[in-house]
Amino acid sequence: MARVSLRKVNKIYGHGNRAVHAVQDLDLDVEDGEFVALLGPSGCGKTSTLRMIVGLESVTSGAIHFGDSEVTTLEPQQRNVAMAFETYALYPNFTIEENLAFPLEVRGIPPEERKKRAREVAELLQITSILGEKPPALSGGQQQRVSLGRALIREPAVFILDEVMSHLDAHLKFQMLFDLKRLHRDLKRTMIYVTHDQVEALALADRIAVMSNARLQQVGDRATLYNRPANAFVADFIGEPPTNFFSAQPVEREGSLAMQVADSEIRFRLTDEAQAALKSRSADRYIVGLRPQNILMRPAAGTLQATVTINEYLGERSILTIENGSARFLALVPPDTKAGQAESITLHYDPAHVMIFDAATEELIA
Amino acid sequence: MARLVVEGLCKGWDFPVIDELSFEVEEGEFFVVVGPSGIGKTTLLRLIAGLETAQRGRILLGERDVTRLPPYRRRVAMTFESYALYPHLTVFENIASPLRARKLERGAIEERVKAVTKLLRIDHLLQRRPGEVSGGQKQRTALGRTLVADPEAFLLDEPISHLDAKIRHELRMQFHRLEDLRKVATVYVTHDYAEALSLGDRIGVMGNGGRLVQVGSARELFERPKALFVAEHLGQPTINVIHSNLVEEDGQLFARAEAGSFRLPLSEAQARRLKDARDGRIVVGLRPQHVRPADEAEPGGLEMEARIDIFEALGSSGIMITRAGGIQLTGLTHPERHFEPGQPVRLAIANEALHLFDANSGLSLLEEP
Repeated sequence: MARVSLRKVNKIYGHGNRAVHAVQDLDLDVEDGEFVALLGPSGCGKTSTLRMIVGLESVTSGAIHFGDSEVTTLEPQQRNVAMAFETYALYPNFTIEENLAFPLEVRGIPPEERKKRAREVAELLQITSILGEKPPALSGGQQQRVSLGRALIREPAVFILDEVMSHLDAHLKFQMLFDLKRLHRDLKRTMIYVTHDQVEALALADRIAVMSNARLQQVGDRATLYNRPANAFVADFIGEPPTNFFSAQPVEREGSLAMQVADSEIRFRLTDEAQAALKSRSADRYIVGLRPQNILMRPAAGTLQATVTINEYLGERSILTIENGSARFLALVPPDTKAGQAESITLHYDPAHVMIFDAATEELIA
Repeated sequence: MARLVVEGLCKGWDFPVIDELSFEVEEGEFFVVVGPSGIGKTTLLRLIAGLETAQRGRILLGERDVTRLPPYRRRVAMTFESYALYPHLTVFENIASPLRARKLERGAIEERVKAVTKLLRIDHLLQRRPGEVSGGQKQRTALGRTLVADPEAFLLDEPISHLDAKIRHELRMQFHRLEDLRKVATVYVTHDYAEALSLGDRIGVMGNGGRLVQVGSARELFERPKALFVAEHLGQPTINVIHSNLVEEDGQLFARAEAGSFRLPLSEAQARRLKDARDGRIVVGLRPQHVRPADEAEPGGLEMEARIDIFEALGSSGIMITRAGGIQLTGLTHPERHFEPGQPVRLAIANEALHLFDANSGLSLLEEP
């Protein structure tokens, strides 16, 4: 059992003018038993961070603690951390049971104990029926489970999963998501899950740490990242389809501040809080964000007109590509929405969902 | 310009991969073949392209029977899932290669390549080599090379499956707008049902045994599946599949789950369709979007008590896996909801949206075959 904390952690590869700052001043706490996802696009520094936690990569500066003990300079095998990889790395000539038990064998644990633990882990992962098989006979999903099992069997204090699902096709992935969630619920182990896929991160983790450009952008639960993204990057990265952004300028009408979208008839109504936040600022341009799922067919306080360019039917839902003037954006609507190309429609939104970002720093204002 | 006709096509090695497969794609139509991995979708494209030889059947492009023609005489352009780019040529040269083969003059080539790469957002990479660009950019380069070819049919094999969700949506939108694609017959192969529903003017669902299980529009396939296989393959989370028995009580017909006490009353219209169900066994298909917390649904539907087993909030909806009447039932909620495991929940089920299938054949009892 362990809490993981990173303090001012930096990773710099290379020297002089060829140095690459891969991780910059990273502060992150993962509570004991917590499931945290490290999420970001490729090249954001998440894999370097992970490798420093495991001990596969040296820390340029800063400190890493597991519980009360500092592990910054310890070897991987001294850290009591286990890692499951994207690639399966199973021994093809060993049975599944032997594959599972192998990490214990290396540690000199007696055969009966190994057998018992392998069975326990297999039960947890629902792979008892294939214990006698060899890896080549298994499906991708089964191999992935065995690989997880081999990391689990060591009963590590910290359990790290590196992009473990990117090879799986959609249906299998979905099943794995639920399996992992159940696993964490049963084990209550500290887990760090590294991925570039926001759906996986949001579905699994108690909290999500979003990284970009070597820096931590925000740590929070799903609702926080959705409704109060720290900046335009997080608002754009989290959510599918991504947030709609508009360049807009504040205008006053009948005593209320609103956001007039550039080269468009759209004017967003704002909450009192948002108006108050704007009063203390003088900029004449802002970035306004509104999520596709917060543009509604049913009535709400705000209204906007738009013309449909594409109505994309996806079964459970439809995505409308719509425009008004030079503003082109997306709305997530029920699948029975029949609006066709070039049709003009009235849509609605709740002013509380309108996000305002500083045009220069891209940080959330309200 | 031509329509593509595939007629009784057969191809197999130790076992049939493509078996008596037939379909037609009109000139300008975007036809999507969707199915699980390994089902034979790529083989089908390779047969049309001439990279595999059909054992039986015919392939017609307009008036021409191309079944026995070599690939380069068929006038079809194909993208490969593995890209197949020339590693020593730049992105520009890779995309220009079909144009050079057709001996277009330099200005025309440049113009064409610029237009297509702008569309695919790789116009800033023209001087790089395939080894210097990302996987997604390679995929778009391969797509660009196919798009400039000016063929009589496009064959696209999973052309956007390796890209991030965000770029995938963007490229789907591009496919909707690409006029070149809308001029000739296109066959697009994917395992991703959302891609299929989004793009296909018509969609063929490929099943085991190398046949198209159902061909139709997106709405037809999703809302009126003719087979359980189609219902299961399209949709996420997967449709609830409830193996049931027909039982009658006080003149009301119910589908009652084989395991547990879960039962759904059937309407008269549904009941009329069930006369042929042998020995009273049927399979009920119930889409998760038709299982909601009662407080989110229109009043007047069928309601029942359940218990949350797992709850996950995904992007646009929450997914609840519940236990209801002794069976597992997956439903959708508003994304802002939260449920704890074990928490009781009252469900509303849109009973009129049930799909009913024959327990033996897996064919729909509601739709005409």
